[in-house]
Amino acid sequence: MSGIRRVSKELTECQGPPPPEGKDMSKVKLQDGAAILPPTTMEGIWAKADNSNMYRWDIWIEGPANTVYEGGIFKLKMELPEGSAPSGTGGYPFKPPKINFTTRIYHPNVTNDNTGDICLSLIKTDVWKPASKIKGVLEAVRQLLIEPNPDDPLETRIAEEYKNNRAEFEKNAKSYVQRYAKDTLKENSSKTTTKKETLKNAPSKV
Amino acid sequence: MDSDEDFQSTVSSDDDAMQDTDNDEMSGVEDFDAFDDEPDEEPDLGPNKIQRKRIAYDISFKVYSPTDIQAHQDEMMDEVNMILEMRKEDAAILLRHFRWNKERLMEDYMDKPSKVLEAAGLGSSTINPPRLEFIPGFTCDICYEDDDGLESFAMKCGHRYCVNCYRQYLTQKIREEGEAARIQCPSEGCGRIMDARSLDLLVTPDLADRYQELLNRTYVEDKEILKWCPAPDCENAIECAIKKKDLDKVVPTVACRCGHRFCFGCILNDHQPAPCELVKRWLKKCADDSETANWISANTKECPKCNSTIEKNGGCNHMTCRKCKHEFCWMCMGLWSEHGTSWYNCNRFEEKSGTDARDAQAKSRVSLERYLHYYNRYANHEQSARLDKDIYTKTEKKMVQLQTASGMSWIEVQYLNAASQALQTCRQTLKWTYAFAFYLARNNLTEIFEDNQKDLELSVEALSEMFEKPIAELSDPKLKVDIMDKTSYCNKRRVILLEDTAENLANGRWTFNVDLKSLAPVSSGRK
Repeated sequence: MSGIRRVSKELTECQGPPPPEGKDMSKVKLQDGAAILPPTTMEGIWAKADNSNMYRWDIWIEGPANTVYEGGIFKLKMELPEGSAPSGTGGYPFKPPKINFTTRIYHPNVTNDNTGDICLSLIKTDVWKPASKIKGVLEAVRQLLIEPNPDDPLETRIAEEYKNNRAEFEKNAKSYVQRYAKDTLKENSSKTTTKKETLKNAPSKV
Repeated sequence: MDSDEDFQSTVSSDDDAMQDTDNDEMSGVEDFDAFDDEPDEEPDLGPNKIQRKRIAYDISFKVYSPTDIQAHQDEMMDEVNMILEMRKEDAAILLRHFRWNKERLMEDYMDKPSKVLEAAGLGSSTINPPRLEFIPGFTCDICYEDDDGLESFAMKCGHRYCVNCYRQYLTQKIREEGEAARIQCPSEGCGRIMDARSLDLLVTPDLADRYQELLNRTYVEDKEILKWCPAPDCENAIECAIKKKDLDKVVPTVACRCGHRFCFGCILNDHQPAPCELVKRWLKKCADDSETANWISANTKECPKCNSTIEKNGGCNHMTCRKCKHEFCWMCMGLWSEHGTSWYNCNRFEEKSGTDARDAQAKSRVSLERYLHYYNRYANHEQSARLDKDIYTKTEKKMVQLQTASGMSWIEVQYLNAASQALQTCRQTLKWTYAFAFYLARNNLTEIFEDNQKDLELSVEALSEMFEKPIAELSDPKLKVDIMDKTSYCNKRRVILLEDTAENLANGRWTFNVDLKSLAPVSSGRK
């Protein structure tokens, strides 16, 4: 299948040759028991394919400097749709990749729940082109952390807050980083939604 | 009212039905004047208005087959191709880009040709026809294959990919996404549109056929005056020049060649005489369970103190709320202590304490009963229409038997078919008259409307009864004549009702008791 060739090539493009000294690893203060990040050619983004399945990738994005997300590391999962060859229905790259945050993040364009869906025009079916590349997608996700797009929100409440009450937004986003995005590199650090969190988002009863 | 009696009498003397209804239609107009207290507005009913009435009810439309649709497109493409001297494929892309607005295309193109081409995804064009090529050292940017002899293709934008990838891309777009008019070059951010000739070069004939089919769809979907017939398996399109903003003035009912009658405004089945907006509201009202709430408010009351909902299903009027122990009178909702010794018999209606609660209660009851009145009749006709249809399917078989039993020819038994058709259409209309009436505020016009409604209903029920007669009776020539007469009478009554409602709708004479935002402000009417 031609898809495999493309996917492995793209992975190489994302990872590149082993990095020159001080390029990336030093940027992240690895904590005790942290996972080792794969090499990368991208700024603040690391990608690694599943050992058994080239179509599933783990992605880590470092909260960009001078943003509310600074200091956090966000883990994402990417799935490349697999096509069925005989019927001619194309998988990747004829269909766009699916990408979700697994680390909770407070962001107008990411659902504020455990699915972490991202609203990104590049990976919408009608915008995606077979010649579009994963690298571009990952960079676009990171760009979304630098510059949220409140006019096309997934979380309208957060978008409103971002537009009208920036201070409150920053406070909330930073507290999410503290709570969820600090220990991302530690093995088995997957933090799930706490009861408190669910209650906080539920409409208050009088 | 004179006309009313006339109508009644014609029900019994079917032979004169046609003649009488014609007269009645005239007298109906006269009666209408009689309600008018302001003779100076008389000119409103002059010949102009009558003319417009005809147009308002008999909406003009055309039915097109798939071949017609194709021919229309070809014609327009040829025209653009001739005038602007461009390839037919490019003309097609431009036309689709301009949503088949040829005039605007010409104007814009003459003004800024390169800008128009760019926007439509054509860029600067050359004359070379599209072809597949072998390029030495070529690597496909989609699959990353770089084999020697890899066949590749590029549109005018120059983004080159291997044929396999192109094929897969197009298959996916056409088969899975149903895309046709807006398939872009596979390169990221390139807006170049795939044209029919390039496509033919790349895909199998059956996929190209599907592409053509989808393109035809965009032609109909892009044009506001065209709509697909919504009947299953019908491939025809209807042309009707009705504007969206006029939907409060007309109910644009069209009939496809396949026999399906529908409203051009909202695509729902024929809903004359009710305008689209009323239909939308009515259906919503009937569908959601807002009526459950209505029942609750009609059958229960709230404790005046703690607001717990209480249903009284027997017993005396001295209520003690289970929850808060508040004691009150069920009748007047006032404090029980105010009742003194007049237990079990509340005669304190003048007291202020319970007036408001009672008012709300009464309103709710009336509103529910009113709704149910109209809904039951609406639902009844819907149900009956279904039954009539069932009977017709059975009758169709009987029509064959009838031929042998009575020696009538197939053509001679067609009157049953006509009767069945009449029953269906008239019931459809009757059904919607009840939804229409539900929203109608009472004025002089509503009386005429209700008379028309009653006449139609009576004759439809009479015809329905004849229609259900057993086969032995159906072969009686007398009954055949009766059915034929009644059929044409029903159709006549329906036309009269529709003309009356359509005319008043067109002239904004109805007053509706709901605030219909999308309806234009209704004139205060004549009092």
